[in-house]
Amino acid sequence: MMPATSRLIPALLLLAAISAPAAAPARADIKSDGRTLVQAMADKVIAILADKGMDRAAKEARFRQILVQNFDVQTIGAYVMGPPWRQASAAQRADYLRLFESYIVKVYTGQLSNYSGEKITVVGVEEDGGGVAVTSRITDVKNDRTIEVKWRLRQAGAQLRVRDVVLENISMSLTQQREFASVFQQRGGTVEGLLAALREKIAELDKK
Amino acid sequence: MTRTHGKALRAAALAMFLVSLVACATPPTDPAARAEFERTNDPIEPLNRRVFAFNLFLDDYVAKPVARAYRDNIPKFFRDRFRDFYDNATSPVTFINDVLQGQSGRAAETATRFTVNTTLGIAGLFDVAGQYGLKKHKEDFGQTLAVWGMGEGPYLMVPFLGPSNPRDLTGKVVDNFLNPISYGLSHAGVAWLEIVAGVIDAVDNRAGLLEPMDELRRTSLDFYAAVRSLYRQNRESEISNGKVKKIPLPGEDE
Repeated sequence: MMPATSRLIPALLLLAAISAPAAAPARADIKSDGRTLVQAMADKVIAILADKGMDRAAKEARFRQILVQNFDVQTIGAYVMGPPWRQASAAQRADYLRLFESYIVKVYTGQLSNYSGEKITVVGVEEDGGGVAVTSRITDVKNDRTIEVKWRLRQAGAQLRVRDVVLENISMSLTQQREFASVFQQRGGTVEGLLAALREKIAELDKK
Repeated sequence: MTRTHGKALRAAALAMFLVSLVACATPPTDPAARAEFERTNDPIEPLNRRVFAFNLFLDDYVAKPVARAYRDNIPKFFRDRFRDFYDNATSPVTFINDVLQGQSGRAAETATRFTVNTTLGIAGLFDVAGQYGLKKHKEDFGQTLAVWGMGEGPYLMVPFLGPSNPRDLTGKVVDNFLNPISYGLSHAGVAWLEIVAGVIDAVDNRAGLLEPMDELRRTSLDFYAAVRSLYRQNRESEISNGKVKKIPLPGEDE
Protein backbone atom coordinates (compact mmCIF):
# COMPACT_ATOMS: atom_id res chain seq x y z
CA MET A 1 0.00 0.00 0.00
CA MET A 2 2.76 2.42 0.83
CA PRO A 3 4.78 2.26 -2.45
CA ALA A 4 1.47 2.86 -4.27
CA THR A 5 0.83 5.93 -2.15
CA SER A 6 4.23 7.43 -2.91
CA ARG A 7 3.70 6.91 -6.63
CA LEU A 8 0.24 8.44 -6.37
CA ILE A 9 1.48 11.67 -4.82
CA PRO A 10 3.58 12.87 -7.79
CA ALA A 11 0.65 12.03 -10.08
CA LEU A 12 -1.75 14.03 -7.91
CA LEU A 13 0.69 16.93 -7.72
CA LEU A 14 0.90 17.01 -11.52
CA LEU A 15 -2.88 16.96 -11.75
CA ALA A 16 -3.16 19.73 -9.17
CA ALA A 17 -0.59 21.83 -11.02
CA ILE A 18 -2.52 21.51 -14.27
CA SER A 19 -6.03 22.01 -12.95
CA ALA A 20 -5.77 24.19 -9.84
CA PRO A 21 -5.92 28.00 -9.99
CA ALA A 22 -2.59 29.81 -9.49
CA ALA A 23 -3.46 31.00 -5.95
CA ALA A 24 -3.82 27.51 -4.43
CA PRO A 25 -0.45 25.72 -4.97
CA ALA A 26 1.47 26.91 -1.87
CA ARG A 27 -0.87 25.26 0.61
CA ALA A 28 -1.20 22.07 -1.43
CA ASP A 29 2.58 21.83 -1.66
CA ILE A 30 3.27 22.08 2.06
CA LYS A 31 0.63 19.46 2.83
CA SER A 32 1.92 16.96 0.32
CA ASP A 33 5.52 17.72 1.33
CA GLY A 34 4.58 16.94 4.90
CA ARG A 35 2.85 13.72 3.95
CA THR A 36 5.80 12.64 1.81
CA LEU A 37 8.28 13.40 4.59
CA VAL A 38 6.43 11.42 7.24
CA GLN A 39 5.68 8.51 4.92
CA ALA A 40 9.36 8.33 3.88
CA MET A 41 10.40 8.39 7.55
CA ALA A 42 7.85 5.69 8.36
CA ASP A 43 9.08 3.47 5.52
CA LYS A 44 12.67 3.80 6.70
CA VAL A 45 11.72 3.11 10.32
CA ILE A 46 9.75 -0.01 9.39
CA ALA A 47 12.68 -1.29 7.34
CA ILE A 48 14.98 -0.85 10.33
CA LEU A 49 12.60 -2.50 12.79
CA ALA A 50 11.99 -5.41 10.41
CA ASP A 51 15.71 -6.08 10.05
CA LYS A 52 16.26 -8.78 12.66
CA GLY A 53 19.96 -8.94 11.86
CA MET A 54 20.67 -5.39 13.02
CA ASP A 55 22.02 -5.01 16.55
CA ARG A 56 20.97 -2.16 18.82
CA ALA A 57 23.97 0.03 18.07
CA ALA A 58 23.38 -0.26 14.32
CA LYS A 59 19.66 0.48 14.78
CA GLU A 60 20.51 3.56 16.84
CA ALA A 61 22.95 4.78 14.19
CA ARG A 62 20.27 4.44 11.50
CA PHE A 63 17.64 6.17 13.67
CA ARG A 64 20.11 8.97 14.35
CA GLN A 65 20.45 9.54 10.60
CA ILE A 66 16.68 9.76 10.22
CA LEU A 67 16.46 12.13 13.20
CA VAL A 68 19.17 14.49 11.98
CA GLN A 69 17.66 14.60 8.48
CA ASN A 70 14.05 15.18 9.53
CA PHE A 71 13.89 16.75 12.99
CA ASP A 72 14.66 20.33 13.98
CA VAL A 73 16.89 19.16 16.82
CA GLN A 74 18.22 22.63 17.65
CA THR A 75 14.76 24.17 18.09
CA ILE A 76 13.42 21.18 20.02
CA GLY A 77 16.52 21.07 22.22
CA ALA A 78 16.32 24.76 23.11
CA TYR A 79 12.63 24.41 23.95
CA VAL A 80 13.17 21.30 26.08
CA MET A 81 15.94 22.99 28.06
CA GLY A 82 13.61 25.91 28.75
CA PRO A 83 14.64 29.23 30.40
CA PRO A 84 18.22 28.03 31.23
CA TRP A 85 18.98 28.08 27.47
CA ARG A 86 19.20 31.87 27.64
CA GLN A 87 21.88 31.72 30.34
CA ALA A 88 23.86 28.94 28.67
CA SER A 89 27.13 29.80 26.93
CA ALA A 90 27.75 28.87 23.28
CA ALA A 91 29.98 25.99 24.41
CA GLN A 92 27.35 24.72 26.83
CA ARG A 93 24.66 24.94 24.15
CA ALA A 94 26.78 22.96 21.69
CA ASP A 95 27.55 20.38 24.37
CA TYR A 96 23.89 20.16 25.32
CA LEU A 97 22.62 19.74 21.75
CA ARG A 98 25.10 16.94 21.15
CA LEU A 99 23.96 15.15 24.32
CA PHE A 100 20.29 15.92 23.66
CA GLU A 101 20.49 14.41 20.18
CA SER A 102 22.02 11.19 21.55
CA TYR A 103 19.45 11.09 24.30
CA ILE A 104 16.37 11.35 22.08
CA VAL A 105 17.80 8.87 19.59
CA LYS A 106 18.02 6.34 22.42
CA VAL A 107 14.54 7.21 23.70
CA TYR A 108 12.88 6.85 20.28
CA THR A 109 14.83 3.69 19.43
CA GLY A 110 13.57 2.11 22.63
CA GLN A 111 9.96 3.21 22.20
CA LEU A 112 9.79 2.16 18.56
CA SER A 113 11.14 -1.31 19.30
CA ASN A 114 7.88 -1.97 21.13
CA TYR A 115 5.94 -1.55 17.93
CA SER A 116 7.37 -4.42 15.87
CA GLY A 117 7.11 -2.20 12.79
CA GLU A 118 4.03 -3.89 11.37
CA LYS A 119 2.25 -0.83 10.07
CA ILE A 120 2.84 2.87 10.14
CA THR A 121 0.39 4.55 7.78
CA VAL A 122 -0.27 8.23 7.13
CA VAL A 123 -3.98 8.91 7.56
CA GLY A 124 -4.25 12.68 7.28
CA VAL A 125 -2.57 16.06 6.80
CA GLU A 126 -3.93 19.36 8.05
CA GLU A 127 -2.80 22.93 8.38
CA ASP A 128 -1.26 23.63 11.75
CA GLY A 129 -0.49 27.25 12.50
CA GLY A 130 2.44 28.18 10.30
CA GLY A 131 3.06 24.62 9.13
CA VAL A 132 1.39 21.25 8.90
CA ALA A 133 0.42 18.37 11.15
CA VAL A 134 0.63 14.90 9.65
CA THR A 135 -1.36 12.17 11.41
CA SER A 136 -0.20 8.58 11.21
CA ARG A 137 -1.40 5.37 12.76
CA ILE A 138 0.96 2.88 14.37
CA THR A 139 -0.15 -0.65 15.23
CA ASP A 140 0.75 -2.04 18.63
CA VAL A 141 0.73 -5.72 17.78
CA LYS A 142 1.10 -7.03 21.34
CA ASN A 143 -2.02 -5.27 22.57
CA ASP A 144 -3.86 -5.27 19.26
CA ARG A 145 -4.31 -1.53 19.36
CA THR A 146 -3.63 1.37 17.06
CA ILE A 147 -2.15 4.62 18.26
CA GLU A 148 -2.50 7.97 16.55
CA VAL A 149 0.71 9.92 16.20
CA LYS A 150 0.67 13.51 15.06
CA TRP A 151 3.87 14.93 13.54
CA ARG A 152 3.98 18.71 13.77
CA LEU A 153 6.16 20.17 11.04
CA ARG A 154 7.56 23.63 10.37
CA GLN A 155 9.67 25.07 7.61
CA ALA A 156 13.40 25.17 8.42
CA GLY A 157 15.11 26.80 5.48
CA ALA A 158 14.30 24.84 2.33
CA GLN A 159 12.96 21.83 4.19
CA LEU A 160 10.07 20.86 6.45
CA ARG A 161 11.23 19.49 9.79
CA VAL A 162 9.56 17.79 12.75
CA ARG A 163 9.20 20.06 15.79
CA ASP A 164 7.05 17.81 17.97
CA VAL A 165 5.55 14.32 18.10
CA VAL A 166 2.12 14.20 19.71
CA LEU A 167 0.62 10.89 20.86
CA GLU A 168 -3.10 11.08 21.56
CA ASN A 169 -2.83 14.79 22.41
CA ILE A 170 0.25 14.25 24.58
CA SER A 171 3.25 16.25 23.41
CA MET A 172 6.60 14.46 23.68
CA SER A 173 8.49 17.76 23.64
CA LEU A 174 6.37 19.25 26.41
CA THR A 175 6.74 16.14 28.57
CA GLN A 176 10.51 16.25 28.12
CA GLN A 177 10.56 19.97 28.91
CA ARG A 178 8.79 19.32 32.21
CA GLU A 179 11.28 16.56 33.04
CA PHE A 180 14.31 18.69 32.18
CA ALA A 181 12.93 21.61 34.23
CA SER A 182 12.57 19.30 37.22
CA VAL A 183 16.08 17.88 36.83
CA PHE A 184 17.54 21.39 36.41
CA GLN A 185 16.07 22.39 39.78
CA GLN A 186 17.21 19.20 41.47
CA ARG A 187 20.78 19.57 40.20
CA GLY A 188 21.33 22.94 41.82
CA GLY A 189 19.77 25.12 39.12
CA THR A 190 22.83 25.16 36.86
CA VAL A 191 23.30 24.24 33.21
CA GLU A 192 26.30 22.11 34.18
CA GLY A 193 24.08 20.16 36.55
CA LEU A 194 21.61 19.42 33.77
CA LEU A 195 24.38 18.38 31.39
CA ALA A 196 25.78 16.05 34.04
CA ALA A 197 22.37 14.45 34.48
CA LEU A 198 22.09 13.95 30.70
CA ARG A 199 25.56 12.41 30.51
CA GLU A 200 24.75 10.02 33.34
CA LYS A 201 21.47 8.96 31.74
CA ILE A 202 23.08 8.32 28.36
CA ALA A 203 25.82 6.24 30.00
CA GLU A 204 23.16 4.31 31.90
CA LEU A 205 21.16 3.63 28.72
CA ASP A 206 24.29 2.47 26.92
CA LYS A 207 25.04 -0.09 29.59
CA LYS A 208 21.77 -2.05 29.28
CA MET B 1 -20.73 -0.92 47.34
CA THR B 2 -20.08 0.18 50.92
CA ARG B 3 -16.52 -1.19 50.80
CA THR B 4 -15.72 0.55 47.48
CA HIS B 5 -17.09 3.84 48.82
CA GLY B 6 -15.25 3.39 52.08
CA LYS B 7 -11.99 2.77 50.25
CA ALA B 8 -12.29 5.85 48.06
CA LEU B 9 -13.39 8.03 50.96
CA ARG B 10 -10.49 6.85 53.09
CA ALA B 11 -8.07 7.55 50.27
CA ALA B 12 -9.50 11.03 49.80
CA ALA B 13 -9.44 11.73 53.54
CA LEU B 14 -5.86 10.55 53.81
CA ALA B 15 -4.84 12.70 50.87
CA MET B 16 -6.47 15.79 52.32
CA PHE B 17 -4.94 15.16 55.74
CA LEU B 18 -1.47 14.77 54.29
CA VAL B 19 -1.83 17.88 52.16
CA SER B 20 -2.79 19.89 55.23
CA LEU B 21 0.30 18.57 57.06
CA VAL B 22 2.72 19.61 54.35
CA ALA B 23 0.81 22.63 53.08
CA CYS B 24 3.52 24.86 54.49
CA ALA B 25 6.17 23.73 51.92
CA THR B 26 8.19 26.89 51.19
CA PRO B 27 8.50 28.07 47.58
CA PRO B 28 11.98 29.08 46.30
CA THR B 29 13.10 32.74 46.49
CA ASP B 30 14.98 32.94 43.17
CA PRO B 31 12.46 34.46 40.70
CA ALA B 32 13.15 31.95 37.91
CA ALA B 33 12.90 29.02 40.30
CA ARG B 34 9.81 30.57 41.84
CA ALA B 35 8.11 30.88 38.43
CA GLU B 36 8.92 27.25 37.71
CA PHE B 37 7.58 26.22 41.14
CA GLU B 38 4.27 27.97 40.53
CA ARG B 39 3.96 26.57 37.04
CA THR B 40 4.62 23.02 38.23
CA ASN B 41 2.00 23.42 40.97
CA ASP B 42 3.29 20.53 43.09
CA PRO B 43 3.80 22.11 46.54
CA ILE B 44 4.01 18.74 48.33
CA GLU B 45 6.46 17.26 45.84
CA PRO B 46 8.80 15.67 48.43
CA LEU B 47 5.89 13.75 49.94
CA ASN B 48 4.44 12.95 46.52
CA ARG B 49 7.78 11.49 45.42
CA ARG B 50 7.85 9.17 48.44
CA VAL B 51 4.32 7.97 47.71
CA PHE B 52 5.33 7.50 44.07
CA ALA B 53 8.23 5.29 45.14
CA PHE B 54 5.77 3.26 47.21
CA ASN B 55 3.35 2.96 44.27
CA LEU B 56 6.19 1.82 42.00
CA PHE B 57 7.12 -0.84 44.53
CA LEU B 58 3.51 -2.09 44.50
CA ASP B 59 3.51 -1.92 40.72
CA ASP B 60 6.70 -3.97 40.41
CA TYR B 61 5.71 -6.65 42.89
CA VAL B 62 1.94 -6.89 42.51
CA ALA B 63 0.31 -4.99 39.64
CA LYS B 64 2.76 -5.79 36.83
CA PRO B 65 3.12 -9.53 37.50
CA VAL B 66 -0.66 -9.89 37.78
CA ALA B 67 -1.24 -7.82 34.64
CA ARG B 68 1.32 -9.83 32.71
CA ALA B 69 -0.24 -13.12 33.85
CA TYR B 70 -3.66 -11.78 32.89
CA ARG B 71 -2.53 -10.81 29.39
CA ASP B 72 -0.56 -14.01 28.82
CA ASN B 73 -3.15 -16.46 30.12
CA ILE B 74 -6.57 -15.03 29.34
CA PRO B 75 -7.33 -15.16 25.60
CA LYS B 76 -8.00 -11.81 23.96
CA PHE B 77 -11.60 -12.80 23.20
CA PHE B 78 -12.42 -13.08 26.92
CA ARG B 79 -10.45 -9.99 27.87
CA ASP B 80 -12.41 -8.05 25.24
CA ARG B 81 -15.71 -9.45 26.59
CA PHE B 82 -14.85 -8.27 30.09
CA ARG B 83 -13.81 -4.86 28.76
CA ASP B 84 -17.06 -4.44 26.82
CA PHE B 85 -19.15 -5.68 29.76
CA TYR B 86 -17.46 -3.46 32.32
CA ASP B 87 -17.50 -0.33 30.17
CA ASN B 88 -21.19 -0.94 29.51
CA ALA B 89 -21.99 -1.51 33.20
CA THR B 90 -20.23 1.74 34.15
CA SER B 91 -21.72 3.80 31.31
CA PRO B 92 -24.56 5.17 33.52
CA VAL B 93 -21.83 7.23 35.22
CA THR B 94 -20.75 8.53 31.80
CA PHE B 95 -24.37 9.28 30.94
CA ILE B 96 -24.95 11.33 34.08
CA ASN B 97 -21.76 13.29 33.53
CA ASP B 98 -22.62 13.89 29.85
CA VAL B 99 -25.90 15.43 31.07
CA LEU B 100 -24.22 17.47 33.82
CA GLN B 101 -21.85 18.89 31.21
CA GLY B 102 -24.74 19.85 28.98
CA GLN B 103 -23.63 17.45 26.26
CA SER B 104 -27.03 16.22 25.07
CA GLY B 105 -25.66 14.65 21.88
CA ARG B 106 -23.08 12.61 23.74
CA ALA B 107 -25.61 11.72 26.43
CA ALA B 108 -27.94 10.37 23.74
CA GLU B 109 -25.05 8.33 22.29
CA THR B 110 -24.26 6.86 25.69
CA ALA B 111 -27.91 5.99 26.32
CA THR B 112 -28.28 4.37 22.89
CA ARG B 113 -25.07 2.41 23.34
CA PHE B 114 -26.23 1.17 26.72
CA THR B 115 -29.61 0.07 25.40
CA VAL B 116 -28.24 -1.65 22.28
CA ASN B 117 -25.33 -3.34 24.02
CA THR B 118 -27.36 -4.53 27.02
CA THR B 119 -29.96 -6.13 24.76
CA LEU B 120 -28.38 -7.08 21.42
CA GLY B 121 -24.95 -7.19 23.00
CA ILE B 122 -26.06 -9.72 25.64
CA ALA B 123 -25.79 -7.84 28.93
CA GLY B 124 -23.06 -5.65 27.45
CA LEU B 125 -20.66 -8.49 26.63
CA PHE B 126 -20.48 -7.37 23.02
CA ASP B 127 -20.02 -3.78 21.90
CA VAL B 128 -22.55 -4.09 19.11
CA ALA B 129 -23.20 -0.33 19.05
CA GLY B 130 -19.50 0.29 18.52
CA GLN B 131 -19.50 -1.98 15.50
CA TYR B 132 -22.27 0.15 14.02
CA GLY B 133 -20.17 3.28 14.36
CA LEU B 134 -21.38 4.57 17.73
CA LYS B 135 -18.02 4.63 19.48
CA LYS B 136 -17.72 4.67 23.26
CA HIS B 137 -16.49 7.60 25.29
CA LYS B 138 -15.89 8.03 28.99
CA GLU B 139 -16.87 10.86 31.29
CA ASP B 140 -16.27 11.23 35.02
CA PHE B 141 -17.21 13.79 37.62
CA GLY B 142 -13.65 15.17 37.68
CA GLN B 143 -14.10 16.12 34.02
CA THR B 144 -17.52 17.58 34.85
CA LEU B 145 -16.01 19.76 37.57
CA ALA B 146 -13.37 20.93 35.08
CA VAL B 147 -16.05 21.80 32.52
CA TRP B 148 -17.89 23.71 35.25
CA GLY B 149 -14.75 25.80 35.69
CA MET B 150 -12.97 24.19 38.63
CA GLY B 151 -9.18 24.26 38.39
CA GLU B 152 -7.28 21.04 39.04
CA GLY B 153 -5.42 22.24 42.12
CA PRO B 154 -2.02 20.97 43.28
CA TYR B 155 -0.66 17.65 42.06
CA LEU B 156 -1.38 14.69 44.32
CA MET B 157 0.25 11.29 44.16
CA VAL B 158 -2.28 9.05 45.87
CA PRO B 159 -1.29 5.70 47.40
CA PHE B 160 -2.60 2.85 45.22
CA LEU B 161 -4.64 5.13 42.97
CA GLY B 162 -1.69 6.98 41.45
CA PRO B 163 -1.53 10.53 40.03
CA SER B 164 -4.42 12.85 40.80
CA ASN B 165 -5.38 16.26 42.18
CA PRO B 166 -8.09 17.55 44.57
CA ARG B 167 -10.63 18.04 41.76
CA ASP B 168 -10.17 14.62 40.14
CA LEU B 169 -10.06 12.87 43.50
CA THR B 170 -13.32 14.50 44.52
CA GLY B 171 -14.67 13.38 41.15
CA LYS B 172 -13.72 9.77 41.85
CA VAL B 173 -15.50 9.84 45.20
CA VAL B 174 -18.67 11.32 43.69
CA ASP B 175 -18.66 8.83 40.78
CA ASN B 176 -18.81 6.04 43.34
CA PHE B 177 -22.29 7.20 44.30
CA LEU B 178 -23.57 7.76 40.76
CA ASN B 179 -24.12 4.31 39.33
CA PRO B 180 -27.63 2.88 39.78
CA ILE B 181 -26.26 -0.58 39.00
CA SER B 182 -24.09 -0.37 42.15
CA TYR B 183 -27.17 0.15 44.26
CA GLY B 184 -28.87 -2.76 42.52
CA LEU B 185 -25.95 -5.06 43.28
CA SER B 186 -25.93 -3.94 46.92
CA HIS B 187 -29.61 -4.57 47.19
CA ALA B 188 -29.16 -8.06 45.76
CA GLY B 189 -26.45 -8.71 48.34
CA VAL B 190 -23.67 -9.11 45.76
CA ALA B 191 -21.79 -5.85 46.28
CA TRP B 192 -18.54 -7.83 46.25
CA LEU B 193 -19.06 -8.44 42.52
CA GLU B 194 -18.43 -4.78 41.92
CA ILE B 195 -15.15 -4.92 43.83
CA VAL B 196 -13.98 -7.96 41.86
CA ALA B 197 -14.91 -6.25 38.60
CA GLY B 198 -13.05 -3.12 39.70
CA VAL B 199 -9.92 -5.13 40.34
CA ILE B 200 -10.06 -6.88 36.97
CA ASP B 201 -10.61 -3.49 35.34
CA ALA B 202 -7.45 -2.16 37.00
CA VAL B 203 -5.50 -5.26 35.95
CA ASP B 204 -6.75 -5.04 32.37
CA ASN B 205 -5.84 -1.34 32.17
CA ARG B 206 -2.38 -2.05 33.54
CA ALA B 207 -1.90 -4.88 31.03
CA GLY B 208 -2.49 -2.47 28.17
CA LEU B 209 0.48 -0.30 29.17
CA LEU B 210 3.16 -2.77 30.21
CA GLU B 211 5.80 -2.14 27.55
CA PRO B 212 5.32 1.61 27.03
CA MET B 213 5.48 2.31 30.77
CA ASP B 214 8.56 0.13 31.26
CA GLU B 215 10.25 1.86 28.35
CA LEU B 216 9.34 5.32 29.66
CA ARG B 217 10.66 4.43 33.10
CA ARG B 218 13.90 3.14 31.61
CA THR B 219 14.61 6.24 29.51
CA SER B 220 13.14 9.01 31.69
CA LEU B 221 15.45 11.65 33.03
CA ASP B 222 12.90 12.10 35.81
CA PHE B 223 10.16 9.47 35.76
CA TYR B 224 8.14 11.19 38.49
CA ALA B 225 8.07 14.47 36.51
CA ALA B 226 7.25 12.59 33.29
CA VAL B 227 4.26 10.84 34.90
CA ARG B 228 3.07 14.14 36.36
CA SER B 229 3.15 15.83 32.94
CA LEU B 230 1.57 12.84 31.18
CA TYR B 231 -1.27 12.72 33.70
CA ARG B 232 -2.05 16.40 33.25
CA GLN B 233 -1.85 16.36 29.44
CA ASN B 234 -4.03 13.28 29.30
CA ARG B 235 -6.64 14.85 31.57
CA GLU B 236 -6.62 17.98 29.42
CA SER B 237 -7.36 15.76 26.41
CA GLU B 238 -10.16 13.91 28.24
CA ILE B 239 -11.74 17.11 29.52
CA SER B 240 -11.82 18.69 26.07
CA ASN B 241 -13.02 15.41 24.54
CA GLY B 242 -9.93 15.05 22.38
CA LYS B 243 -9.99 18.60 21.03
CA VAL B 244 -7.22 20.31 22.98
CA LYS B 245 -7.20 23.94 21.95
CA LYS B 246 -3.52 24.75 22.17
CA ILE B 247 -0.56 22.43 22.49
CA PRO B 248 2.65 24.51 22.78
CA LEU B 249 5.18 24.02 19.98
CA PRO B 250 8.98 24.28 20.21
CA GLY B 251 10.12 27.47 18.51
CA GLU B 252 6.72 29.16 18.80
CA ASP B 253 5.74 28.93 22.45
CA GLU B 254 7.64 28.90 25.71
